[in-house]
Amino acid sequence: MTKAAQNLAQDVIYDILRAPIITEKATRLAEFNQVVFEVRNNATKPEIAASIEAIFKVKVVSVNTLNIKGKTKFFKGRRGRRSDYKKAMVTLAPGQTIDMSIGI
Amino acid sequence: MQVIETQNEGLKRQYKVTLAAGDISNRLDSRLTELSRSLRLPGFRPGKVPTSLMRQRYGNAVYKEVLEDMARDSSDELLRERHLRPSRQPQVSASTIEKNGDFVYELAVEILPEIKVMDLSTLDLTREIAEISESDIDHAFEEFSTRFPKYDPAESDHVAAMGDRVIIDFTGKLNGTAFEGGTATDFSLDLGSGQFVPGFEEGLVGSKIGDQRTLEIKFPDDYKAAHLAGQTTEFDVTVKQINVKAKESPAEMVARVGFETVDSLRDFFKDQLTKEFEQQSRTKLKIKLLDQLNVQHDFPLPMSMVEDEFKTIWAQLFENEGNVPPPPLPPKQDDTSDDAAKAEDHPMMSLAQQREYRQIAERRVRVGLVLSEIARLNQITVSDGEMRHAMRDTAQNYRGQEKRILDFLQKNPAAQERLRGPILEEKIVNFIFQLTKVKETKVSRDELFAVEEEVSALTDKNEEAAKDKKASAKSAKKSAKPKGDAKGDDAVADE
Repeated sequence: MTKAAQNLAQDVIYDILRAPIITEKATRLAEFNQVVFEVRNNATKPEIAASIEAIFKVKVVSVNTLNIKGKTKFFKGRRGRRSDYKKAMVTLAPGQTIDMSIGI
Repeated sequence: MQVIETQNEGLKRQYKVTLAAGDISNRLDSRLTELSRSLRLPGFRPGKVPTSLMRQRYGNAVYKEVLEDMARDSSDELLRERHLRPSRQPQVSASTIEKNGDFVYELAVEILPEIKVMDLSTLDLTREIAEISESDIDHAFEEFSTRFPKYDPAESDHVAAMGDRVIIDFTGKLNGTAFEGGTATDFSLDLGSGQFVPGFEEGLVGSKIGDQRTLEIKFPDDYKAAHLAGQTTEFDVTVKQINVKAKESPAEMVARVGFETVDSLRDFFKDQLTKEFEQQSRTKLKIKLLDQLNVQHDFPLPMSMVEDEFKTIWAQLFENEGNVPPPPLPPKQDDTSDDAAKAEDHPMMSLAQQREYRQIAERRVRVGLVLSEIARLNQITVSDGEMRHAMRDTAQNYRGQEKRILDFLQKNPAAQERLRGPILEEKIVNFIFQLTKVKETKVSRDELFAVEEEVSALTDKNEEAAKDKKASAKSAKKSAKPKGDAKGDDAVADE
């Protein structure tokens, strides 16, 4: 993973992480030393781990990802679709934290 | 809460209060939990936002609020514990947050002095009573008839003179165009009454019925309508009719104003005078009472109250000039502090005058404190019923707008407070009069109405309250006055 980190250019790592996800569920995951991010749709687990490590200066143990399909919504009678996104649940090394409120 | 007394001097107390960091954070947490119950945050169900997140997001904002709350609570507690009665809101100052999170602030209060109310039954009071003499009534009668003279239409060749009443049409022009409020028809004007702009009435002297005159009038520079002040205008005036004062017998005059006989009008005056005399003797008695209360009581006065009172006087003195200059620093005779050194002649008032007014302020505060102490000891309060009654009375002074005034009073607690003050004062004074044996002496009318110099300073305490009341009601009335009815007299009439 460290290898990947070196290969990623500085601007790319900020592109990979979109936003922190702060919800009831996500805050409860803090118990297990996990944090949740919205990431670029085509980001890979190694890329995500590298970005987190580079930006927050923490050690990432593992990354789980899942694709969230956008909901179909109707607006003024027309069918529309919200964009899909990828959610990444990142497990940090024991004792390490990220201040989720500061944003990226 | 830790309290250290830093000053205990006369009526002044100062405390240094320390609030422990732990207490603050407990309070903060409980406040945050309270907030989280009703907070809606995306991603969370209401009431499910974790405290840690709350702290992170809203901690700083709530911290200030909590500190203020705690400072207030702790100072209340402090005053209660030590049985202090503050003369006014305690001052909180010099608040700092220590490194360990403790909050330290200073609390300065001026407490009310211990007041030992004198034995009220030992007051030496004399009520002055004046009989109404026939000549008083004659005088009132005379005055009435000159004030409301009878007018008769004059002959067609009569030349208008001062004192006549003319019926006129007029059009006022500024630079050739008629201006608003400068036009009226069939306007009845008493020459020499000073009702109109200077020069207007004079310009009509010597006119005859049917005359058309053009008057060139220069408005005074300080005229209240700004667009006319200092302007030269022309008035086209048509004299339609001239009325002259007519002689009439007392009986005719009485009949004209709607009374049956001369005697019934005299009785009416007698009633009025009786009321007036009673009012006056009561006022004088009250002044004496307040005067004695002032002399008989000696206790240290809270300086802050005296200062407040002085500022009120100061503001009133310069009220008419629009902008009130800042009051001067207090000239204290007794201390050596910086304030005393800085006290000096104010551009608006000499030091001696300042002292004088300050003494008046002290008297007012002293008497006020004694009266409120008496009220407190004897549980004299103003009931809701009395308040309602007073409000209705006030409203009735304004014909046709009773409802407006009543509404205004009901919605405005400050205005009610102004009404309450005088009522309470009357009640206390009545209470004292009951306790005391009030002697009576007969005096002449002139003696009754003679105002003694030294007491007049105290009277205005009551008048002031009354004035406040009037002023507020007056402004309400003015704004309520419909624009339309002020057509002719608004711009031209010189109030």
